Amino acid sequence: MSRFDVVAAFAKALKREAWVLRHDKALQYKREGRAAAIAKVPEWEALRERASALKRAVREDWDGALARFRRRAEAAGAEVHEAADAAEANAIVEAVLARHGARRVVKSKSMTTEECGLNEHLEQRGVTVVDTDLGEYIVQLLGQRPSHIVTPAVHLSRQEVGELFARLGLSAPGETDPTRLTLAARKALREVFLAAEAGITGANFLLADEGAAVVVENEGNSLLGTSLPPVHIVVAGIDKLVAGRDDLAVLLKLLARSATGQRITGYTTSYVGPQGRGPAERGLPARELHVVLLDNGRRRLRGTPGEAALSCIRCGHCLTACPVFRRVGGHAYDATIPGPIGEVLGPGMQGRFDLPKASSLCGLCSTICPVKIDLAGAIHDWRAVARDQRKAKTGLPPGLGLALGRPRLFWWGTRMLRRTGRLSGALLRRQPGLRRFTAGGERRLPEVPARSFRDWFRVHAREPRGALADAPKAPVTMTPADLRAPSEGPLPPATPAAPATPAALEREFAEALAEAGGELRHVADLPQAVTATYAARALLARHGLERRQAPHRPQDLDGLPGLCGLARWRVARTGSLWLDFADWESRAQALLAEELWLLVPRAELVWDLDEHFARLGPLPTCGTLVTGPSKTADIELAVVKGAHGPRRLHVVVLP
Amino acid sequence: MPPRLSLVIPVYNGGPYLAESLAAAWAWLEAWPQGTELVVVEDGSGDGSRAIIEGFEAGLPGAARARVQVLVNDGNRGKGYSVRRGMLAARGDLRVYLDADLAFPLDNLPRLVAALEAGADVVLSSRTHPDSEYLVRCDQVGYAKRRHFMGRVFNWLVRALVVDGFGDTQAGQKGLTAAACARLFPDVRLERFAFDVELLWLARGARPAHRGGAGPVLVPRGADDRALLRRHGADVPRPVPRAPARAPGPRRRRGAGRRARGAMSRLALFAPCFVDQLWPEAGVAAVRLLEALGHEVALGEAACCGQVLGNAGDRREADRLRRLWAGAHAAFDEVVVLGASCLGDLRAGLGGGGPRLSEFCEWMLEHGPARFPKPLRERVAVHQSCSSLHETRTAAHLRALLGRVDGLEPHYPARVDECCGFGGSFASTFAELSVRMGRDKLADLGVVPGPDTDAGSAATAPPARVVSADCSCLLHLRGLAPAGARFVHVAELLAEAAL
Repeated sequence: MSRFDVVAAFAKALKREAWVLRHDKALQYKREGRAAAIAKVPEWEALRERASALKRAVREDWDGALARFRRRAEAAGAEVHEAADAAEANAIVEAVLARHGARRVVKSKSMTTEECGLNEHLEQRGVTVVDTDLGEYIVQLLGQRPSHIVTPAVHLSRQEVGELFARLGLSAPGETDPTRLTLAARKALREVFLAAEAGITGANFLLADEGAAVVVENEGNSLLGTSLPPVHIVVAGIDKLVAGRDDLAVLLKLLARSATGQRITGYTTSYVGPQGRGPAERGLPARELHVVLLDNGRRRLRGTPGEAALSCIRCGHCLTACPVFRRVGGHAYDATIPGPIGEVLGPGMQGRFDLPKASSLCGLCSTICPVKIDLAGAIHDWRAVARDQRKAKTGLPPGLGLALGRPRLFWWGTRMLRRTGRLSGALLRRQPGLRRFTAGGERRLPEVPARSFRDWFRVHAREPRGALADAPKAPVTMTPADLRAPSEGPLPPATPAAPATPAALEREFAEALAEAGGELRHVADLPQAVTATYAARALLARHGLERRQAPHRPQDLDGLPGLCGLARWRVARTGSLWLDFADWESRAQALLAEELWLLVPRAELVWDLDEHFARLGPLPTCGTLVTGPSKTADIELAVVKGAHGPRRLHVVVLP
Repeated sequence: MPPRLSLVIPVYNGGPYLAESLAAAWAWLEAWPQGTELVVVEDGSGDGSRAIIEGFEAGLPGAARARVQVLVNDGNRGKGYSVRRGMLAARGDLRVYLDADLAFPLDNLPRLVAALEAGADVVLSSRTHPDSEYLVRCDQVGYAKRRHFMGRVFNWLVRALVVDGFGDTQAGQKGLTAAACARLFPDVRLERFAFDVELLWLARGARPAHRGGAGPVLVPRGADDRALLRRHGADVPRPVPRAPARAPGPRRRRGAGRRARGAMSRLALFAPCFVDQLWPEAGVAAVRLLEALGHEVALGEAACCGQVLGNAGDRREADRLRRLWAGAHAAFDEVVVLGASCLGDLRAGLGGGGPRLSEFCEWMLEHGPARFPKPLRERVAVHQSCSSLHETRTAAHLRALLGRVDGLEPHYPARVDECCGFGGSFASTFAELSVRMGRDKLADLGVVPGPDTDAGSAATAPPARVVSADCSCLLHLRGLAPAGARFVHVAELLAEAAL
């Protein structure tokens, strides 16, 4: 077991008074945003139930699902590797990179590669790995690790980021504005992207029936990092497997809302096989796609208290909500994944039996988990395992169970202690547990009353049956709605049907798009400077508009003021546009211009993700649901548009 | 004409079943073919037994009332005193005294009387008689065995030191003739425990006199009590005598609770170990409320549900304590638990079966008044414990209950579901963090100014008190609050509004 002392680390973390206040407040703010988001989803509870069941179901035939995934992915031209542990995964990635002579690698946010220590492994072999997610980029520059699995730099203030960037010459000294800091990082990272020889990503979901890896993100760095370099390596835990697109629809509805309070993240991208293999991709350069499926202790979790955590979709909300995490921060856990989910995964996967004690077992995490993992229950059960295996102590005075198990002796004994109050009090105050409880005099021990409740009961005069007994009663039957915890919000009505009228769908789309930071525009608003992809030019021509052909070489696209492309359809409830890139000259076109204009025929509008996936035929090599411009909130949770991709997204609905 | 048979019942804190016992004894006497009399000695009970006895007497027809003597001791004088007083005041030729809880069944009496009729001066029931059997609930076998063993040890000492020949001197059911009473009882000096031994010792000393003439015979001797009881027991088919099923509540004389048995719904209150020891006011208020509502309340003989051990990882001890808890409450129909965290653990650990478990607020909402009679005009800050929010979901009941008190202004903190930082062993393992969380909670409750409180502004006044349904949180918060801050369990608040 590690030498790390979580008790000391927490105590140390708490000493930074101002930091604790800021961190706690920031995450509390996030909680509020999330609550508002799920309040708009009447079927939230039903979704949680389904998600919990479907993740459990896939594990019942885990190896079958894995084999299915492998078959489909390989048929689409991907190379599938299985890694038993971190070392194997690192070696596989290293070998693939070596085969291509790739020395400059861009990596998008992936907790799995953090878990493997992939960066360190590759750096030691002369490969430069740059984390391109803004939060991870900052953390990497500081030589730290992410403190939160969704917002890796939430522990840092804008001043700290500003100082770092100034020191590295990325921004002017004294700069603390999140927007300007973000744009400084964007500038630096754009060069890294253009020079990258391989892109590594994680995956949020692996679709067994489709052989697809699905990545959700807000910044567009992942899509960019897989669009420019010729090699794309996906490193994902086998717990990311789900059956297929129906399950994906359920999980996507939960993930972003729970993680960030968004209806869906900016880019939800699925990859099936390498670019250049799809029927509509003739002419695109051929690429390679590798998928590394990592076990690293995941199979071993089955049959332990950690098993339910294999359902986790890494929304990170249990960290955000946790009253302990909010006060001590992720680094105090010294674990790849901190917070409640880390306490459940840590013992089984990394032998971190010290983590389960770092909880007040308040149960908030269990209540809010979008896939209904009973995190507090699992933490409780891990404590028992830890003690049974002599990996942790209970922290209770010895013989407590013995004393409490002999009630009469206990009552007699405590009566004796009362009678010898002064002496026994002095002795009890020396008891290590009670001494610790006082936290050096910060907290007073309770006064011991002269008589215990039982001793009173023994001699008490029975209360006369009063008027109370005849007062009118009003027994209340609590409904499930009454019993909901505050964090769950009011219990919503039954599952809503899709709005019947096209106008209602349009209203929903407009609202969702605005929420995501996109803008509904008229075709006449299209500036002359905007260039257009092939299919978009054809459509514009029908409306009597002509635009120049958009470039497709990345270096020509970089800095382009505006680009106009064609989206297949819209999803009203999430405000998304579906791009399958079939008629685009390159995926990078969607990201490298300063502003993106998407044309979409009016009739092409579906209600929600279920309808979206139902409408979709076989998944394209790469398809993405774009929702708003590229954005980030990695510096003090301030939303900044244009993290990597377009700063503005204009949607033009054409008849 | 003096009655032929007197039954003497000493009563001390007779508890919920006293009325039932008296009625049963009276019914038995009514059915007896000869003249009978009932003598009840009230030994300064503190629990309303006297009212029950008086109620019983008042309920009898006028003629029958003449056959009942109620003697009231000035204060609690002890069982020995009471028995002596009753046996001497009785007028029957044959006098039998028995425990008020009817621990020895009434259908054993014909054999005792038969033995007296046959010429014995003193007859005693015995639990060591070969025909004797214990009727004991299976989960109480261990208890009964221990008790029996202790009884044997005592008996061995008695036989070795005082008086030999009796298998069981302590059984609370003995019969004497009027003559034996007059001769023996005036000399009984012991007024409490072991007066029986003294009685038998006196009887033994007087034996030569008893042997002669009309042949008062001290029955058990040599072949001990068995021979005679067997002789006279022959015409009664069922085995003699037997101890009844014991409800697992504490025994009346030693434990704090009262025997719970009989047909009516049996209700126990469980005040968790920390309430029992450190916040008795909550238990007291709960008992008073339940009793004022007309319910009989008993306490099960368990100190702790085991949650504290389970939460800290000691699964085996936690399971053991939970089993003990279940055994101690198995005879009840319903247990009201004073606190959500223990209840949550019990519900999760026990699964189905056993008594119905209710959190105090749940129970009060169902059985309590729709409005509490007295208004409480004050602003209270409400702390909803995490277990009540996330586990038992009884926070809703707390909120509803507070709404039934007129004038009360509940103030809910902004972070309504924030943990106060107690968390059992967490509070001492991560003491600094626990203290920090507690201080934040106090600030949010308005008890102390928080980091965001604007010192200059006239913010809303601090609450008069903080109320919660969980004393564990309250104990921790009280330890952190300034000296003047007041914390109450919801039962205390409701008792103020009700009584």
